[in-house]
Amino acid sequence: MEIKELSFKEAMRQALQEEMKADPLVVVMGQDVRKNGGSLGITLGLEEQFGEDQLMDTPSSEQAVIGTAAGAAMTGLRPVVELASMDQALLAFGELVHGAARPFYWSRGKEKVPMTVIVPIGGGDWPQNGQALENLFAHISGLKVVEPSNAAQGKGLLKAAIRDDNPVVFLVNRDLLNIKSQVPVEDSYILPLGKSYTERKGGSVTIVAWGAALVSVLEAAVVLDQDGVRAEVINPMTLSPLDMDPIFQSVKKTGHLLIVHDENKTGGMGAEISASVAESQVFDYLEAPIFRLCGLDVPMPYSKGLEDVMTPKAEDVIQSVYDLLGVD
Amino acid sequence: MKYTEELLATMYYRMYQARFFEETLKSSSVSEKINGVSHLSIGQEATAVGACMAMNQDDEIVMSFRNHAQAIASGMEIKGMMAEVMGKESGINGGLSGSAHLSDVSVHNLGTSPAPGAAYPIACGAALTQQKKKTGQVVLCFGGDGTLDEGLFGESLNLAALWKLPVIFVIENNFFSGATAIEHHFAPKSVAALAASYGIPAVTVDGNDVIAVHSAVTKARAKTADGEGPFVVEAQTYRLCGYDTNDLQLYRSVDEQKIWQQHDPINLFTTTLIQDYQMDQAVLEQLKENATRSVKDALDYAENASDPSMNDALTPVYAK
Repeated sequence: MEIKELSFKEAMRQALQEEMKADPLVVVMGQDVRKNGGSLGITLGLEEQFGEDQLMDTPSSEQAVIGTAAGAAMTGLRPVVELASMDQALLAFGELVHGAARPFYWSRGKEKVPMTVIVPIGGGDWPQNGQALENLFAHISGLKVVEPSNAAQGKGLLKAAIRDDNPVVFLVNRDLLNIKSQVPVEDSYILPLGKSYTERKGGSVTIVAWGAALVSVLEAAVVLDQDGVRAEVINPMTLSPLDMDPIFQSVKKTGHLLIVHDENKTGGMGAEISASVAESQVFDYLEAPIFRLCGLDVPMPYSKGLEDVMTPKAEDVIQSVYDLLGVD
Repeated sequence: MKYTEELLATMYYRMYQARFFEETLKSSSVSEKINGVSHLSIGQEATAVGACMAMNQDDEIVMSFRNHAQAIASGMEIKGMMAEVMGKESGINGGLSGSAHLSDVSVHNLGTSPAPGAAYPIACGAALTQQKKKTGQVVLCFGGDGTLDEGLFGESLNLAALWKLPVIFVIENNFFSGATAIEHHFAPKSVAALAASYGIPAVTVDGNDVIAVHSAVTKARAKTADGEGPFVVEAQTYRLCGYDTNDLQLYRSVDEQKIWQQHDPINLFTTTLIQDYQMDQAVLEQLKENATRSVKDALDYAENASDPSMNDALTPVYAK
């Protein structure tokens, strides 16, 4: 498979381009997507190839746009909506739940809603814009929620989301958009939804993380390695429906579990993963209580300095692992 | 336009089916078996039937939550509807949707979202599909006057106008949002004026006159199918029953209700059929009788149907 170094943003653009080309029913809609590349710059340059048939600028009417995408998806299109930020996703939340997530269930599978909603998270800009709130989406049965952490995952998961017959919320962290990594350039490259991936093997401790937090965790794992602490790192990628099995298997092996995420601790995805482990047979294998290292339970502050201390960094991960293992 | 006897007879039959269907739901022996309340459209049958029957068979329909008459008018099968409203396994959606989310893709009925205003953008999306696929089909979307107050109505009109979507919004103005009269919940001068501010043509018709509704929606459909974009039809009507089956109706006078009872859409249509279309009274009696029987059969079917099992509730949440 041919590999190329691409930024997260370029990889997402490639995914859109491949899927729009393969299927003219894939339409991308969002604010300023035609001339300005949308809020993330991922649609830049696509207009020449696809025109307004497949690339549609929308007014600032998030709820109507999500509902329109749902109605279009029900009747045969495969819309991809780019929302400019999490605050806009909250405006659209009603239609995302009622219009997109529910009809498949209550029609007993007769109405499918194959749509993708790209929601930027993190990366600063004010208390509303910078929040993530992934757990709100994961709570809604009928929605799938994914959060990639690098370019290759961004491409593979976006292609899978577009091909999926369900509404998928695709969370993308602005802080990661310009980071480059190795990406398979083949059309056929895809990362199936609903599978947790083992990013790194190890026997000392299981660390579960995703999105931007995963970057800090992988950085920490390298340092821990030097101290002889082998971290096994699991990245769910799909937060809902969540594939717990690789996490169970890893905990069985290591006896120690640390969950790291950027979002607020209270009611976050870490609580869900933690409870699932505590409820399972794997509980007996735990040699220490489950640890969670999460964002602080406050709204996102504006100042860059404050924003930086809100989310776990590599040194916090290292400290948490030592606390968990009872090492001074 | 010239109306065939067959079309007039179908309209008459479906209006009576809708009326008997809802009177059955209202009766205490049935209403106590229904989970929650149901929202009846007794008195609004002309709007539902007139609008649906002005559409082509392949046109998509998106309903308002006061949807029984609309569902019947769209051609939905009443046995499955009755069983669904009663939450039975053989209901049209297997007892998972209930009365509030009736839908049937086999008759191009996409259903409804009872969250106020939430159906408008769904209709815009269905219209976008017709536009992109160049099917020539049109989408009919019902909404009550209560939903005019939602931002989604304005957002959807804006989107439909900008993209010239082939969608007809039929606003069933029954002059009440819940227990609040329209002058206390809707500030614009009229629905038509509001539509006009988005550049969308609109007409106001007597929603209790099935021929008037049919004629207005037929004209709207022709323009919309011609690529002229969205259209709004305001049908002024009245619900002769409460907001829902629990409504005590303390907010309106008996006199007001009596005046509207004089304008019962079915009675008006009966007179029209006899006087203007020289239909035989015996034929009409037979249609009415057939409608009664179909509802009785539907009730028998629903009452004898089994409840869904736990397996039905765990029916797939995700499409494969």
